[in-house]
Amino acid sequence: MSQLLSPRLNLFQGRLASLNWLLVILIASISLIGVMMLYSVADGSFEPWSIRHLTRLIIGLAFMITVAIIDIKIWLRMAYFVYVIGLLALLSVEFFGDQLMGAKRWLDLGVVTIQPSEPMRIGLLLALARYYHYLPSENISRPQWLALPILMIIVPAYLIFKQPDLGTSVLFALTGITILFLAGLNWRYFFAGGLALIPAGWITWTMLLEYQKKRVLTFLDPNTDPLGAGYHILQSKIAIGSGGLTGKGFMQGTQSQLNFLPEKHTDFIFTMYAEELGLYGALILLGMYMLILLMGYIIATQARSAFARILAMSISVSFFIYMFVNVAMVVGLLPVVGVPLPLMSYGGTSMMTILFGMGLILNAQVNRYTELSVK
Amino acid sequence: MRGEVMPSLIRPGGDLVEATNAQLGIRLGDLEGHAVDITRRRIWLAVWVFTLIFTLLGARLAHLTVGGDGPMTVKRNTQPQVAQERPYIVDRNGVLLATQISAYNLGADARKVEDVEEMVAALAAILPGLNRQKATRFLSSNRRYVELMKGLTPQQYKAVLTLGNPALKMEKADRRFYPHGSLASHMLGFVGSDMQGLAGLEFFLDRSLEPLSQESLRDGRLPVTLDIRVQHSVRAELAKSIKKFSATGGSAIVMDVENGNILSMVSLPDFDPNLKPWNAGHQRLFNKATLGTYELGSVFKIFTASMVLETGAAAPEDTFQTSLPISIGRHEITDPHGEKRPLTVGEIVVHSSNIGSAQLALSVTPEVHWGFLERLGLIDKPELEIPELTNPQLPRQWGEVERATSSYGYGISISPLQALVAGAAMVNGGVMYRPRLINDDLPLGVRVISEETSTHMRQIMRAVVTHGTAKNARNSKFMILGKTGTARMAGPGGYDSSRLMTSFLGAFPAHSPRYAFIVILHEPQKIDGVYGTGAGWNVVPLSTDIVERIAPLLGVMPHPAYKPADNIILHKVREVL
Repeated sequence: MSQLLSPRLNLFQGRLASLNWLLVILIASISLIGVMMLYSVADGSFEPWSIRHLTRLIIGLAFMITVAIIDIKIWLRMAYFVYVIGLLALLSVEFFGDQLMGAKRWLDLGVVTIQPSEPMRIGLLLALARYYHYLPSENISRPQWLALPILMIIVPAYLIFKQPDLGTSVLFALTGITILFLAGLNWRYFFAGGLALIPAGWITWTMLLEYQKKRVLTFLDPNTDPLGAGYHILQSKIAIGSGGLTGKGFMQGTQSQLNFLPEKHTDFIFTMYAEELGLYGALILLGMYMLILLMGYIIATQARSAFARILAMSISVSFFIYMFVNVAMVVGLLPVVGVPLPLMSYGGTSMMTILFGMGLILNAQVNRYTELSVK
Repeated sequence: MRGEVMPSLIRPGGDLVEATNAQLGIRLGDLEGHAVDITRRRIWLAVWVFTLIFTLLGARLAHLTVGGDGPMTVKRNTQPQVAQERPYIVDRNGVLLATQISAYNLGADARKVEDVEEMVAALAAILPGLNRQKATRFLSSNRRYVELMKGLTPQQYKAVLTLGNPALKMEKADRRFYPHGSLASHMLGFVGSDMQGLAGLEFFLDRSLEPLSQESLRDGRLPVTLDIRVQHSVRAELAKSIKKFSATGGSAIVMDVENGNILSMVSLPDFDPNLKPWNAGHQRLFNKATLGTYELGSVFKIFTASMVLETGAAAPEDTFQTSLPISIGRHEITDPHGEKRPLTVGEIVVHSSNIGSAQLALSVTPEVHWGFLERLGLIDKPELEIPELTNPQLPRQWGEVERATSSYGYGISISPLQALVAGAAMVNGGVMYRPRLINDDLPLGVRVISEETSTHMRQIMRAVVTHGTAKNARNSKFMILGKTGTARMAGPGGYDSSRLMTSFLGAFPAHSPRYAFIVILHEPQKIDGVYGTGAGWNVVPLSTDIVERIAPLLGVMPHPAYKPADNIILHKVREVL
């Protein structure tokens, strides 16, 4: 009996052993910093955020490792399926979603509520990776083979846009476009797309009503709405600046006592962190994010199959875009778009999605020598 | 598909992975190899782009944290126009609140300095505030521009000029100065080191120089509605009470009910806008009066009562049974010290009955209830010239439970400013005025309740003082009326009975209210000689002290003979003492 079982056991043991544990440790470390900051945000209390973040982390890590050791062929086969599930979830939000503050973004599954726009991202990455895995390279830049991927990006992006969630929808589309770029789509498409945006934007602009123009202007320059979004950015910048080189010390940040930053446990958690741990702390954290990305790149370059390569790279890029947009937002380089900081911000769907993605990167690494048929 | 490995793919010293593939005997097809190559090149391109972006983020962070006094300050005064056009701010009597004083920054070209020791000694003799160590270090460097000191006075400027040293450079850098220090800090706000408005009215000035130059300026000065004498009295009394009751903070606003002019606005602890206020910490910078939102508790009952009187859902003499707790869903609403008898609408407010209040709220439809709160401006962000404003926090649903709890001020958080503006409309004859700090146009008012309802509300709120929870204010000759609120503060684990926020929303004189006020204490403690910690025991005496001090300043006469009208609303109120 044991003889019969052992090859299979060895297979899993082997996969576990070949996991990139440094990456796992990095992910866990950043999330634990998140747990720490959420403890500080709640004024030195594990309730209501910190403890739940920790629980989700533990469950999520187990989930991530499971995702990592599943045979990559299964993921390849399931790719479109995951995409379709994500799409159905997005559609059902349209019909059954909970309306919160005028926007339908949440889906109540009884036990948990989820934001389907998050898992949809993974679905898109999986599906596009599979598509380009099977697409012979000479076809990549041919228009008839570009139509489907564009459709696969636009349909969910439009559904998210309708929720309405402009920021997430733009980031979603941007992630998709990055995959097209990584897959090797000809430069000319990107140039043409960029050029086409200029007249298209101008025409749209002339068609907008006065109040809509004002909204767009406010989005582009928060200073035109100094009483709203711009004000929080100002406070965020002052908070980060007041942290100085070494910060005010853990739990010493003065914001946690106050409610002047509305999303300090989610979107503005980096502000808290930088205020309490200073420039050095912030640079160390950025360095850790950078290391995760570098590992993603290394895994991508080592991967033998197009599927694993595109998947690992595009998940890294997607992870990076979210991190960048969040940090750039709180330091005042980008306008305010509600994007969480990966692994640190409180939020179950976001956490699980990121760990799912990280599981897929690890999977690509475990299976880096696996050849996948392209037929 | 799978042919020979193309020699061109394995360049000498080329890609390691390609070479490994070749060693392992893995053969890639020509076209696939090409695609792999493209992807790999693009991945490395992405790596470079991202490294660049990371550097950018790091640089931005460094600039935010340590950039303030670094080389960036050399670029200062790029907008001298703004600095010169910034008007002085004066209060409604012309007292100077914010002004410019001439000042200069001293720098030097370190490469042109011949004898560092001598120069530092010469400068130190003129400038007592000079940091000699820093100056020596800077002047010993080889930099084209080092900043030695900021804020030289005109005399010091002349003295440095007479040194006649060509290495020294000075530039005019006027400073904003606030003669009253922290007295009106939250209203005035402050400017940054480049004279850009960062908070309060200073922030507003930067955003609206154009309209100001036409309408509001008087001889280049901007008069605001604040009365610094009133402000001083309010702040002094509030600070005294915070100390007396070991409270963590407090806020107060006084408003003219006939035009929305803000006469005083205090949030404690506060900061001194002259002393690098951005270092004061958020605890001090936070304006509780306008930026904080709180569950105000029973204060809200006046809005509930006026709603049913205004809509006719109940007549003033209608009674409601309040002896037994009522259940809504899984929630049970109780009265801590119930009267155990049917109460009229007025008595529900006077005795602060939650049970009665919930019944009042549920006697109208959800739409009417929401619409009334909206009419009172409690649903939207309030308007005022300063930027420290925020949206109220509203219940996510509007079911019976939410409506019942919000009828006595729980589950809905609004700013003290909003409560005051709506409260003033309850007693001034029913017109709600847009609050303002700059008095440059006719007041902007909109009728929210009828005069008749407002008269009822005045009588009810006066009865709160004569017979209800605010009895500590009834001896004031200035005839205070109002409503108290004692709310438990919400913490991470739910409501905390040991952390209270007490508030008093009132107006005076009761027969014809002219000034409305809201006074709030955060976490007042029980002290010896005082019976309780509720609003009646701390914030009501405090409000009385404030009124006693400011009423004479505002020309309100004492009215010793006034007695509350005895009418149907009060017919069941019995003298307790």
